Amino acid sequence: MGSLIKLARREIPTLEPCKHGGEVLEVARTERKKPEEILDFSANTNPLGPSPKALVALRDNLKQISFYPDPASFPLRLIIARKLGISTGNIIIGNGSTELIRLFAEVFIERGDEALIPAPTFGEYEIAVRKAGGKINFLKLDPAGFCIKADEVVGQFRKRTKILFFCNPNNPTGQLIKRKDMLKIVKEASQRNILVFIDESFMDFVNGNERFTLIRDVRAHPNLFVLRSLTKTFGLPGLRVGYGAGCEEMIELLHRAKTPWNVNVLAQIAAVAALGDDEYMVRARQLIVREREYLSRGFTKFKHLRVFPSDTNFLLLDIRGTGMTATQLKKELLRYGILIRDCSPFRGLDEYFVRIAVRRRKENARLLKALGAILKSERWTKRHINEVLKAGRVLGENRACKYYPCHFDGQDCTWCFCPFYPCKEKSTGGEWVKSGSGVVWSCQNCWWVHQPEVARQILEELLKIAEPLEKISRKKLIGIRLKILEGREK
Amino acid sequence: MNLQGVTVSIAIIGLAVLMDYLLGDPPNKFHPTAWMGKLIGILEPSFRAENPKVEKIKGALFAISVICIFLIPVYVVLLLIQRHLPLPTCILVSAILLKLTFAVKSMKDASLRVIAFLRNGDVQRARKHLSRIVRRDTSGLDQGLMLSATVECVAESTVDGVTSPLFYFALFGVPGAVVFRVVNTLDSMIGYKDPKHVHIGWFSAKLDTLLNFIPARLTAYLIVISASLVGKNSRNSWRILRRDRSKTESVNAGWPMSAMAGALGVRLEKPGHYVLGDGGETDCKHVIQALQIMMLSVILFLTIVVTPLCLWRNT
Repeated sequence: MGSLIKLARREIPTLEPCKHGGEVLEVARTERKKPEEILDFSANTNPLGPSPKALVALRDNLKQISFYPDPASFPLRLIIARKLGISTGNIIIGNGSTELIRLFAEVFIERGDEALIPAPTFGEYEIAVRKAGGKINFLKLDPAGFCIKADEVVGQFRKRTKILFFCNPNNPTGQLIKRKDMLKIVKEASQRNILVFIDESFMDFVNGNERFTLIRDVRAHPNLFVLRSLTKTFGLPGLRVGYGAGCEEMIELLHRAKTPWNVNVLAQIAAVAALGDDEYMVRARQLIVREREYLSRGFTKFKHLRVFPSDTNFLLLDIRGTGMTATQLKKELLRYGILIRDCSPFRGLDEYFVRIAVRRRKENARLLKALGAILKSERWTKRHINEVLKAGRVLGENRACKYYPCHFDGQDCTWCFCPFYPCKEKSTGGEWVKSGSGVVWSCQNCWWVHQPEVARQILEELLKIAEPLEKISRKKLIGIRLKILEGREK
Repeated sequence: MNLQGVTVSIAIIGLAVLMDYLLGDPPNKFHPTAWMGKLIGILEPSFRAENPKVEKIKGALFAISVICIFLIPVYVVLLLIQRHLPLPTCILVSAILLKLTFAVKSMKDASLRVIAFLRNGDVQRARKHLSRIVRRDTSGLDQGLMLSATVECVAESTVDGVTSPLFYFALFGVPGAVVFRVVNTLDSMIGYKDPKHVHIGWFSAKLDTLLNFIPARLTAYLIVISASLVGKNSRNSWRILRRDRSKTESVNAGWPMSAMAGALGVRLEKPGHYVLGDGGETDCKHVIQALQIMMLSVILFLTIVVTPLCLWRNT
């Protein structure tokens, strides 16, 4: 038996699973907490939790698990079709919306075809296309606002472009693409025989979404597919159920290729019940508008954070001003039992972005308070640095850290937090960068403190002063930095 | 004296300097100097000739054509704006045009990037960034020689990147600065002594030398003065300037570079070409000091050369 890798389809060995948020169960296990004790801001699901009607229906129909589910989820499609005013032939149900992403790519992508995908966006489109053997042309969005512009998209069409993927509102930026722009893209694409896949997983949370959605346009535009999530909308991520809409011919093709019984009995039952719960969705939307405002005002008060404007139930934050990476902040917040989404796995975002889901007032207040405690006192850096000073020796290479080496192999990890931040001095690579509406001091290109020899000297100098970090003046710190920099050169 | 003329000139300079300080340079795609470079590259082959003498003449014609291509539109635009638009617009447009002829911030950032990579221990990337600002082959240079090249570049750019264009602005207004920038770009594209360029670039090289002649000398003296103001050795700067200024092939470049070498107390070396100064090896901190001296020299140049020239031109 030779290597199994050789037996796999050639796309498979290079596939890397996408990292997602919402990993409450895993975190609970590693943190030795109960899942209920963790406040999950990392998954963008309905802040009201599972729809009560869905829960009741589940409990009352548990016994149905002894039957096979309806293979094409007909009753659920009927309800959705009625709600949207389209026909059941326009609808397909998936085991979570992600299944439909894969299915769509498998049905339409041939080896060598290209897909156009914005960056940053949800990572599953990329994986679906790669798995199907397609290539990807990334549309890199300007970090100043991450706007998607119709003209830019159209300008990226190439000979082999087959599918355009959009997430609207976009994950993780929270931005909506205007209906006018979206329609323009769909029309231009149609002339070039390009399919447009719009993931509207978060559309249900947008206030006045009737004005933005394209789901009713699927009959007029045969190249359009619109994806919706029920998992997120009704707070049922554990059940996995989502749907997509397209022209009848497209849905028919998808149905031919899909797995039978893909949506389980309970998921179908819960979804049918939840869809009848209009009042629940109205309340959720109202709550989201109010709480998004509350959270974003709360974040704006921390001068180190930049909040990006959002149209939906989550907010993207640029935290580079804190000097902390997303991984570090996530770790700090976990001490408070709060889970957030570290956005560094998103293509097009660096390690300084986090995404926060909008939750209920009490929970949001808890997040703001924890964040305040971490940021205001700058306790996180100081504690870490003071621990180093107390130990009195360099840490060396921290290979146990799963981010090692974050700068270069052989780096010293003593100063995981730079004691000089923000030095505002460009000679080791730090620079002012634009972020949101302002500028912040970024150390992305400085790894001076990670050179083993430098790390040792910094420690020596700080130990000479024999004071905790907060007692050392900024001027003195900068003086030490300069002394080491110049001393090393003579 | 024409008081308004003086005020306008000074306002243009002030605004241009402010723009450079705050914004630096636009990306190459939108930078006229980059367009010049592209245009020169495109046009040059059609001015080639078999006979060296003919090529020299055609090279001169080439230089003059390129100058005209940029000078005439600038001249016409300025004239139209002066006639038809209010004064503040005129100042703003002039300031933008002037700014595009000189660069302090981008020079500063580019050289800081070189030392940042060296201080981070990434010699490869430092070398890559250095090769964007100097003409010489950087592949064989060790750290000391790379830093030496950076300091030389700072010193020379103080002249042809800053004081020269400002000097010609003071004398001839925005068109003067534009002509200088074109000539300097021509020189950097074709002003080489190698067999391929020696004839076609002859005129451009000579013209560039001529235009930099006075600013290079004035700037060198200002570097000596600046050295004392930032606490460096101005006496040594003067000594090395006197001693080593003619050691370079260019009759201009030796001036600011030797003054800088003396001021910093280092040895500036281009292997196989020249050694200026007699101090130790160049360090990262010397680049920072060179940048300080550059800034100060520019300020001095503005106050004791450019301003009086503006006054004189308007009497």
